[in-house]
Parts: sequence; structure tokens; C-alpha cells
Amino acid sequence: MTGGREGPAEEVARLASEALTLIANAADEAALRRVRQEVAGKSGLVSRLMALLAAAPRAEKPSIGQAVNRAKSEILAALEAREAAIGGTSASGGPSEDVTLPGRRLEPGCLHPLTVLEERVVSVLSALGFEATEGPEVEDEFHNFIALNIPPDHPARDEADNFYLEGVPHLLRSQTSTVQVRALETRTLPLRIIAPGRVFRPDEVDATHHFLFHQVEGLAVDADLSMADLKGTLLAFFRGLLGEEVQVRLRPSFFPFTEPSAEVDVRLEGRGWVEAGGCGMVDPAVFTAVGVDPERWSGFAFGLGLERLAMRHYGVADIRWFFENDLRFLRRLDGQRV
Amino acid sequence: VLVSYRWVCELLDGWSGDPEEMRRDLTFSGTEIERAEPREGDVVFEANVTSNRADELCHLGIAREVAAVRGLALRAPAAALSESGPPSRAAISARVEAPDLAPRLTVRVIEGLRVGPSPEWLRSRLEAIGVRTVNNVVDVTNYVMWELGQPLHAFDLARVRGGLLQARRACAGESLRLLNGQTIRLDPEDLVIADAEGPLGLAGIMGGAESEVMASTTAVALESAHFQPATIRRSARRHQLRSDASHRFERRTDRAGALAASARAASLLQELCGGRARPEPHDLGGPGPEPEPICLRPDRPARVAGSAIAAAEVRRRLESLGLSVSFEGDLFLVRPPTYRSDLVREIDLVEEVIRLGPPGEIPERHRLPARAPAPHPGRALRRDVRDRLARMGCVEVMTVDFVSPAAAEFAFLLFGPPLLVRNPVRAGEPALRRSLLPGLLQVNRQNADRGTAGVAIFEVGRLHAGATAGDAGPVEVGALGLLRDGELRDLRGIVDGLLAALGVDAELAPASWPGLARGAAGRFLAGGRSVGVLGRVDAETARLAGLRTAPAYAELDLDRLGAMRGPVQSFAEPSRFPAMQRDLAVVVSEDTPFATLASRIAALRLPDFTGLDLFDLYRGPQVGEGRKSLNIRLTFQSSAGTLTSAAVDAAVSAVIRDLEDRLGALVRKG
Repeated sequence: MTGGREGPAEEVARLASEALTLIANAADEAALRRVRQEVAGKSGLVSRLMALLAAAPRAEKPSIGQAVNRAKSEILAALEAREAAIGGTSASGGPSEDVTLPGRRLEPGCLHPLTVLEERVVSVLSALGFEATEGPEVEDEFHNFIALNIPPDHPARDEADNFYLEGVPHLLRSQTSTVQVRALETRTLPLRIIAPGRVFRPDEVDATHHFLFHQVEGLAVDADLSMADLKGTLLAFFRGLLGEEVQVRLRPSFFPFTEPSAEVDVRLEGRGWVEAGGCGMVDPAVFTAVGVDPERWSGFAFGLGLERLAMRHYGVADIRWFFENDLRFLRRLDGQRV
Repeated sequence: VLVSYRWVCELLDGWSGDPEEMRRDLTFSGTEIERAEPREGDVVFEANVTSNRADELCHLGIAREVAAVRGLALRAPAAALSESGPPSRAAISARVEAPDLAPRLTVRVIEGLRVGPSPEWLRSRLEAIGVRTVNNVVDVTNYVMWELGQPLHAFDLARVRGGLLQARRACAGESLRLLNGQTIRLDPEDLVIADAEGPLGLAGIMGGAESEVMASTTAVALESAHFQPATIRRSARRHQLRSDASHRFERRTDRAGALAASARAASLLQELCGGRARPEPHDLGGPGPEPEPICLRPDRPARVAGSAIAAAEVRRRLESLGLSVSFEGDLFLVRPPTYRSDLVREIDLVEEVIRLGPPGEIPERHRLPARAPAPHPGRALRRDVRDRLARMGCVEVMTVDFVSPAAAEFAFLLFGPPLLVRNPVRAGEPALRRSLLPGLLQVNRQNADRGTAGVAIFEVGRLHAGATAGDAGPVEVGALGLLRDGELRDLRGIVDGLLAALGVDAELAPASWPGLARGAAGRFLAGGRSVGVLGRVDAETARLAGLRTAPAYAELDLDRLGAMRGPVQSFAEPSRFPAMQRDLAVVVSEDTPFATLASRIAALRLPDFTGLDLFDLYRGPQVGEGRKSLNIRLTFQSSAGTLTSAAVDAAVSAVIRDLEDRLGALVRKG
């Protein structure tokens, strides 16, 4: 240290250039290890920089601090860059690792897309006051037909259109409306329920038909319900499910257990109308069959097919994928927005 | 059904729209037009007529709907019939032996016919809607059916034996050769049209070959009848026959309109085939009673719709459908026409009024829910099960309920006889699953084939079986099936984690099950009841499923677990002091299960002992033949303070002594 007294700022600059020179001159791994000790070790150059800061007069601390920090990060960056350039040596000095090895992926589990969609539908309807309920898949003729205004000899009871069982007067339910009947039998009114579940019809299997599919059926019974309530509920539901811009329209149709009956069409912005389900006012005969006075109570019901909804939502062209259980399919759909 | 746009237009007075407008009118009043295809100056609609509307299975019916929507009048086809000669009954007699099945039978005789091809306009009209043309006589009967909805049948009069046509039940042993060449054996429940000697046709479904109209035919007995819908449907099903006629009779034709349809056909036969209609046709059974009038409260449609529809408007819409409406005090008294047999109750009329309303008539009303719905316990449990399994890396699948009778033999949770469906869609799979195992094995196999195996898969689904005793109905159980390749312990770990999360304390007791390997399966017991099984799938079952290695499988009864699910546990603070661990290698004989060792240690009631884990299982020369080394880790931790080594060592010594003395184990500190 010749000449005049060196100020702290000059000393910072000198220590920094000393360190950078050492780093630049390290020729091999061993030299660089030694340099690291001299620079970044316990009483190395970086530590001395920090000591300078500690000793600096109070007034100069902010400016010295800035200089020290800048110098320190410059030095450490240079050290790492040099280490990388010489190669093979990690900071801890252990053996090298091939960072280009493929990652060992942790595959999370996932839920079936129909489960995810069903949960979503149930949660939207739950926000509208509908309580989830369930009924058996193997039903008797009273709940599947008679109480739903489908008398004996009605074409809907055709052997070829239902899965009747051998030896017992039961069948696999052809619609979840059976659960409506059970709810009306056992619950107090008014009520708002939904019944998600599997239904079975002996359809020929192709890209858009399956003998097994999932429905969500809703039922509301109260003293003064009208089609306006039905339409308002459907609109609120589809907006909750698909977005605020959705439009809903009812198109007259026929179901034995509702009258008037309608098909529900929905339209997303910029797209055409698509059929999304069926609905209607509970037929007085259904009320009468379970001992509910149709003059005192009114109700509406609606049903939609989950597979059809899922096919449109995920862009799946073939319904069979949902029962194929190809893990690639299940994983592909997992985590998609619903 | 297919509908010709031009034909409908001809039946309407003053239609000025285009096909697209008609399509919309029909679709938004309840008759969906699924497709509209241009065809030679016409447009052919494919109409989806709902099953309650038999009256719409003809062009007049469709025209009536359009007329109602648009407020137009109809141009009903005229039957310009000039009858001549002796009465029909002089040429043939008619009888109804089964008035319950054939409420009305009309027979009219037309003579002097010249059978040949139909004129061009008639042929093209029928061909446009997909009806095969045969000859002018048969084409006329088809034409009238497609125009008015009444199926007709023409018998070659010369080949009606004994001068008699009768509607009767078939006799046992009778058979009939049909128009399509097929010969059927008749059932005593079939209704036939027969002559004096035998059946000529299967009533309402298909005529017989022996009396069909041929080039040589000069006179016909024209049958126009009304049959009981259920009879026709059952016969059609019994003989696997479907025809345009049966389609209509099954849905109920207009009994009152049968004779008018016959007159319409006769007039066309006169016009196109040179025939002469004889007067006084047979009419057995007659048109039947007038439809009952229906009371309608004028405000009812408005209340059901939830919008204002004035009484005058209600009346206008009903009248536009051809219903007659009069006032009876405060009520409307409504008489539907005979062809609308679907209109019986007040609500039927309400529906008619509402469906004819303009688009947007029904507003959207939003009412807030009165209360937040209670969660469904079963669904909540299944959701928790699914979520937990997915978080443990398992993938949910959904298989179908149908399995082969052999696969239906697998049963772990319910033991009634397998249920079978009468009409399986997949040959060889008529049974309902009693276990989720067969489905999961198949999924595992398919994914292995596609190179995506090695993943734990699960399904949450229902199992079915018949009643085990007495006359109780079928039994259904909600179950979880879980299948994984690899060690049993890994699957066990998933199940243990799941049960712990559900707050169910279950232990596994060895048990044997068909489908699971002997000595490698057990039953989960909780509160003395079986809640599920776990084991290695047996080699034969795996092989039959096409798998090279046998996976591990567990099946749990979710209904039962739901009932046992523990309450929410209040949080117990874990210790904040360090845990101390000691490893021991315990060499015991091969037949000592881990559970024995665990229960020995538990019985010592060691102070601050918090856990026992197996971290390695070793067999080999170092421990000797018939022995194994269970390498265990004991964990100690106190919530009162840091434990001393001396205290832990003392506890470990007690363990070593006990295992050596009681199990004859050789214990080494790790």
C-alpha cells in the first residue's frame, strides 16, 4: 500500500480485481478449488470485503454497501462461470452428475373424466339448492315404469328395449327417473333433488351409443312451480356449468313422466344449438302413483346424459373411449378444465 | 317417418312459406324435423314423431300441425265415390270372432279392376318417401295410409275361400306364408284375418302370399280395421315382424276414420284402376264411442307455463288443432277429435296450448334455493376414497356391469346367486358382476398390451346378486376394487392409508378365496365385521385373463365402511421433541408371521414407544435355511421431553430379550 491512504471505495475495487484475476488465472480443477478457498473461504477476499463494510464510517455505509454487494456478486458469478468452464467440478467438489439424464417422472393418479364431470354437475346443481341422492341400479317395474306413467303394454317396456333379469321381476333401470319416485315416496315436500347414476338400455354399441351410460336427473317439487321456474333453473345451471354467455331454449317433446315435456337445447357463443337433455313438468299421474296430490303440489324434472356432455366438452368423438379405460386416454383428460 | 313437403302443402289451404319455415314450425311445436333433403322438386323431411302422436304418422297429420301453428285451414282429400252394383255383403260375408282384439272391421268390395303399374305421379310420391311401389292396387292402399294414417289391405276376392273374411285368434298349429315369402307358425294369441278355410294374413302386420293382389286380380275385398294396439305389438314382436301398418296399429289408429279411409281408397281405385265400388260395405264394431269431453280451467295453461296466456288465446290455440271448445260455467269443455286419442286429461290440453305458444312465451324465473342441501354420506365417502387413491397415484377406471357366468363366480362381498339379464348385448356376458375383479383384470390386460401397464387402477362401482334367502329382492353393494402389479405390501400400504384416512380401524386376517392365491389372501375385519379382502390373484385366474404375472387385488365394501366411518378427530398435537430410532435384525423361522412379532412388541407396552416399521426382509445363506430376517425399526418419542439414550436402550433390550425368549429369535442390533 504505497502512496496516500487508500479509501474504502478504492479498497473494494482493488480486492475485487484481485479476486477476479485469481479466478481467471486458475488453470485446472485443483487450482480452481484452491482459488475458491482463497476467494470465498472463511477468511477469503469476500469476507474481507464484508469486513470493510462493517468498518466503514456510518455516513459512507450506503455507498460502500452497494459497491460491496456488486463486487461480491460479480466475484461469485465469475467463480461459478470458471468452474463451469473448467467443467466436471460441482461446487461441493463431489463427482459430476449427468444432468441430461431423463427425469424420473412421478405420475400422479387421476379420476375418470365422467367422475370429474359428474362432480362438477352435482356441485353446480347443489349451489342451486339440489340435494344429491341415489337409488338402486337394479329396479322393480313399479319404480322403473308404473309410477312413471308407463303402464303395462307400453312400448317403452318392450323386452328388446330393456335389460330384464332372469327369474326375478326386476330390470336394470333404464333411466334415473326411478330415483325421483323413491324420493317422492320417502321425503317430505317441498324438495329439490338430483340423482346421478348409471342407466342401461340394450342399444347397439357404436360411436354415439352404448348400452350403459350415466345420467343426472333433477327434480323440484313445490307448491307453485311452473315452466318458468324450470327454464330459469336450466339457464342458471348451464351458465354455471358452461359460462355466462350460454343460451337455453326449450323445444316441445314427449316423455311419459312429464307433461308438458321439452328437449333442452343450449348454445355457446358463436356455435350452433345442441341438444343437451330432456325436461318437463312432473306428470300428475306420477304424483298420484306415489300418493302426492297433484292439485296441491307441482314439480319439474330434467335429465341429461353425462357421456354426451363429456364428448362435447373434451372433444371425444367416440363414446366407447369412456369405457375402454386406456390409461393414456384417462391421463390425457385428467386436469382439463371442466 | 319420411314426409314429402309438397304433399303436405297440397293438404294445406294457403301455405305461402318455404320448406325451412315449415321445418321450423314443426320442430318448435313438438314434431322435430331431423333432416330435410331436396329431391326432384320436393323436399323430404325426416320427422321424429313422438310415440304418443300416432295421428302424425301421415301427411294429413303433419298438415294439421302446420295448420294449427299458422292458423290455416286444411284441404282434406275428397272421396268422390260413386258406388254401383249389388251391396258388398252379397259378394262376401264378414265376421269378427275376437271383438276385444279387433274392435272394428270394415270390408268393401271393388270389382272390375285392371291391375297394372301406377301412374307416374303416384309412384314418384311413394318413392320419394321410401315406399316400394308394387302395382296400382297395392300402391293405392299404401298411398291412403301415408295420406290419412289408416293401414288398408286388399285381398284378391277370387282367392278368398268360402265367401267369408273373419278376424279371429289363430288356432294352435296354424301357419301362414307371408307376403315377404316367410312362413310363420301362428300363436293362439295372434289375431288373423282368415277366410272360411284358414288364415290369409297376420292382422295389422302383414298380409299372406295366398291372397295377394296379382296381375290377374279383378276384384278385391278391401279391409280397413281398427285393432287393439297391444295385440299388434305383441304379435309383431313374437314374429320379429315390423311393417308400416304395424307401426301405426301399435300406436293406435283412428277407429272412427277407418271407413272414410276405405272410401278414399275405393275412389282412387275407381279413378286409377278402373274399379267399381259396391255399396254398403261391412262395418262390424262401428266407429266406437265419441271421445269424452275434457274439463279445462282456463287459467291452467298460464299457471303451468308461468306466463300470461289469456282464456281467449287458450281457446284459439285449442280450436286451431280441431278441438271443439265450449264454456261450462267457469270451465272450458273441450272435445278432442277422434284421431287425438292421446288427449284425455286436463294436463294433455295444457300441453297443447303451451307447445303452440310463440318462442319466448315462457319467461325464466329465478328463485333462490330455500336451503343449502345436505351432503349425501355415501357420495361424500366415495369422493374421499377416489381423491385419496388418486393422490396415492392410482388411476380410476369404469368398467361395465356385464360379465361372463364364469367371471360372475368371483365374489368377495356378497354371495347371493349371480343375476342374469335375458337379452345380453355381448354374447356370453349375460351376468351382472359380483366383484370388480374381472373388469379390472381385463383393463390391466388391455393396458399391458398397449404398453401402459404397471399402474395401480381402481374402480368404484356397484355389485349385484340375487337374494341369499327368502323372497327378498336383489342385493346391491357399493364397492371399491383396487388392482396393482407388484408386491402385495405396496397394495396393502395403499389400503391401509385409505382405511386410516376414513378413520376405520381394520385388521387383516388370513382367509382363502376363489380367485386369490392360497396362503396369500386375507379378510379385513373391523368391529368384528368383514369389510373387504386383499390378496394375490391366483396364477390360473391371471393366466385366463391373459396376464403374465399375477397382480395384487383388494376389494372393499364401501357401504359398510361408510357406516363405520369415524367421526372427525380433534387434533392431537404431535411431539415437538426429537424422535429416537433403533434398528434390529430379527431372525425367526419362516413360519413366524410379522404380526406375531408385532403383537409381542406391542404387549410389552414400552414407555414412549411410537412405531414399528419393517424396512427390509432378507432370506439367504447368512440367516440359514427355513429362516428369515425381519429388519425392523423401532421409534421412540416423548411429548414431555427429549429421551435419553439410556432409556431407549433399556426398552430395546427388553424387546431383544422378549423376542429371543418367546420367539426363539436371533436378534442383532443394526
